Order: sequence, then C-alpha cells, then structure tokens
Amino acid sequence: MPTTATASSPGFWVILVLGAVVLLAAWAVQERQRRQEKAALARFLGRHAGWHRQAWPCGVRPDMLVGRFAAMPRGDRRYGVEQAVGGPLELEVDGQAVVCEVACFRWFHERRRRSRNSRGMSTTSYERQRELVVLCQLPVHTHRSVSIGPESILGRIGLTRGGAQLESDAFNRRFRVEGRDRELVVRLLSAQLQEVLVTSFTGRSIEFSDDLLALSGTPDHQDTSLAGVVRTYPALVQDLRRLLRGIPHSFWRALRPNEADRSEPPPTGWDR
Amino acid sequence: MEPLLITVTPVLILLVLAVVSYNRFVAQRASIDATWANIEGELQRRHDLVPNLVGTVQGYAVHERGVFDQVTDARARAIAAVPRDVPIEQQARAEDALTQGLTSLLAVTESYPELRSDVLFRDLQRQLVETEDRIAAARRLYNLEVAAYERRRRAVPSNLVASTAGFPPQRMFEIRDAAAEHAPHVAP
Repeated sequence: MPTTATASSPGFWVILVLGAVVLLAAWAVQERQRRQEKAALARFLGRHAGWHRQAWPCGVRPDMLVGRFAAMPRGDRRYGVEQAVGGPLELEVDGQAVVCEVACFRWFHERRRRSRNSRGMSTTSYERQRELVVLCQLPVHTHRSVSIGPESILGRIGLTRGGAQLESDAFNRRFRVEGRDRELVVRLLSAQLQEVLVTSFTGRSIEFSDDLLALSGTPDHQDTSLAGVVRTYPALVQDLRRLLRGIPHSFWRALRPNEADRSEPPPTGWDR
Repeated sequence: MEPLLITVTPVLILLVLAVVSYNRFVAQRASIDATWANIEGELQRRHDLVPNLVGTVQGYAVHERGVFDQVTDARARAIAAVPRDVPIEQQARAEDALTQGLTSLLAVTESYPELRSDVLFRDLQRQLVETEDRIAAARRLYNLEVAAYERRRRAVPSNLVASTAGFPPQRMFEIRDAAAEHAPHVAP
C-alpha cells in the first residue's frame, strides 16, 4: 500500500497551509483589483455630471440591442452588457452643441466550443467574448441603418469588394459599408470623413440604427490613471466626439425633419 | 470526339466569359444612365426654384437688379445646357455659373434682415439647399458608377469586350458643392 498524506501527517498540514495562503493571496489581489476598479469608476463618473451605472445603456434593454448591431451579437448562450455607465453628454451634431444620452459598456456573448478528448468523447464549453461599445442616442432618426465595419482579409488585399464602394481605395480596403439607402451612405461618407476613418478608426465599427449610433472596438489609447475596463471609456467618449464632428452637414440635413411636417418641438439645442 | 471537345470547350468558356462581361457593361451603362437621370431631375428642380427665389428677394431688394439679371441669365444658360448633345463639361460650367449667381443673390439677402426672417424666403432657401444636397449625392453616385465602368473598360481582359462591342468612354460630372455655399449660417 502506498503511503498518502493523512490528517495526522505533517505533509498534509503543509499542503493545507500553502493552499490557504495561495487562496488568500488570490483573494487579496482580486479584492485590490475590484477596489481599484470601483475607485476608477467613481473617478470617471465624477468627471461626467449626471452619469451613473446603467443596466440598460441609454435606456434600451439589451434584448432590444442584440442583433440590431453587428457589434452586439446574440452568441450561442448568454449575452448582455457589463460595466455600463452613461448619462447626458454635450456633443457637436451638425455644428451645434446638443445634449445626447451616451453610454459606455462592454457587450458580452458566449460562443459554443465543441472539442473531443483523447477517449473520443465530445465536450461542450462556452467562451465569453467581449466588445467595447459607446452608444449614443441621436436627436434624429436615420430610418434606414448604415453600418461601417472592418473589411475582411480578402477585401483588404483587394481580392473581393463587398458593400458600397467609395472614392478612396484606402477606405474601401479597410472598411465594408452596408446600407440600403445609397444616397444616405454617400452623404455620410464624405471625402473628409473617409480620411478620418482611415487614419483614426481602422478596425472599429460604426453603426446607425434608428436614433442610435454605436461605435465599437478597442480605442488605441487608454487613460492610465484609471483601472479595469473604465480606462478605455474616456477614449471611447473622445472618439465619439471626433466621429460626430467629422460627419458632414448634408448627412444631418437629410435626416432633419421637414419644418412643415414637424408636429412637436425639436430636442434641446437642435432648433436653428 | 475528344479532339473536338478539347477545341470546343475553351472556345465555349471564352464565349460565356465574354457574354458575362458584355452583360456587366450593359448593366453598368444602365446604372450610369439611371444615376444621370437622377442628377437631371434634381438640376431641373433647382432651375424651377430660381424664379421663385429671385421673385421673393426682388420684393425686398429692388435695387439689386444686376444680381437678379446675373442669376436669370445663368439659369437660362443652365437650362440650355441640359440636352444630351451638350458636352457634360459645358453643362457643369453652366451649373457652376448658376451656383455663383445664387451665391451672390444669397449674399445680397444678408443686408435685408426682414427678408432673412421671411417665412417664404427661408422655406425657399431650405428647399434650395436640400436640392443641392441631393444633387451633390447624386453626382457622387454617378461619378462612382462612371469610375467603376471606366476601370473595367480599361482593365484586361474586359477592355477587349469594351472595344469590340464599342462601349464609349464616360465623363465624370464635376461641379462646385453648392449646398455648402448656400446653407444658412449657423451661429456657434
């Protein structure tokens, strides 16, 4: 019979103590991280008056967002929002300061993975995938959705051309544009905005759906004074501002309700 | 039988490819014609707006006869440049002259605050800018179609089909962005 560590042997106690120390250390590290993230979130919220943690970004339920934007897929099991914060933010829309509801969050969804072990038995596991999103409620409706996302590898090397093609070849190689209203697409993607997207938004997705604008993807800079996912939020807000500033006036004019048809007063700051 | 198949099969494949290429050219030409019709419709709408705009401004600024004549002449030249037999460059220059005339007309209105607050004038200016926005978008769509067509017309091997079937070159339509010049100024 081989000898094993029993409650009376010193080896058992050494293993038990070591295990407890490791567990304690892991808990302490996690707790420290959690506290840092909480403090970072409080600091970030302190910089934006009226912002708070949200269960529903911009007041929209996650089940109303899922599938509506390419950046918010359903996945194979669970999906939802994590670390959502948001509130009113003054943005420049059509050259005017407009207060919009904005939310920063991480969208997660679970992807099924099937694998076979050495005995030929299949096992199913779920992998959680996450995407950073900043969602903005615009003062106008786009009615028809427009989506600008990263081009496929084949598209990037020029072998395939999908979606709407525009004047800039550099833009066409980096982005795939989908939108049923071609006039709205060309009004949105002016030569200047194409250049801005190529230089500052490569790899990111921009989607318009009704009155919502979703900018997703990881920004190329972070606020190192913050911790956790919150350190990306200032950059998300900054990118949203830059994007809205770059959208041409003619795009907003196409969406603005006709003054003669307007039955209710426009949102704050929108009236000319 | 086999030598016949070896000879006929590549010929058939080439023929099918040529037909596909030809049909794509036909589709592109149809698309160019459709987008051009769109531009013409919007240009026509702009021409129709001009007399109303001039009439409204005349009601307030009676002493600006030179500007009114300039706009009226430019409109007449732009209308004369619409037919298909007029070169596209000539039509573009005529439209640019009209844009310039309208810019002068709108500049005149800056001196007449009562006119700027006139509901009819504001509505006409809004309609003008909206029409010019649509012209700009239609022009870009047309130019994108022409660029795609010209790319195929010059690239190998579709250039062989284009030259054999006689698909003519198409010119881009380049005009000034009038909407940017005529949009009402927004105070920051």
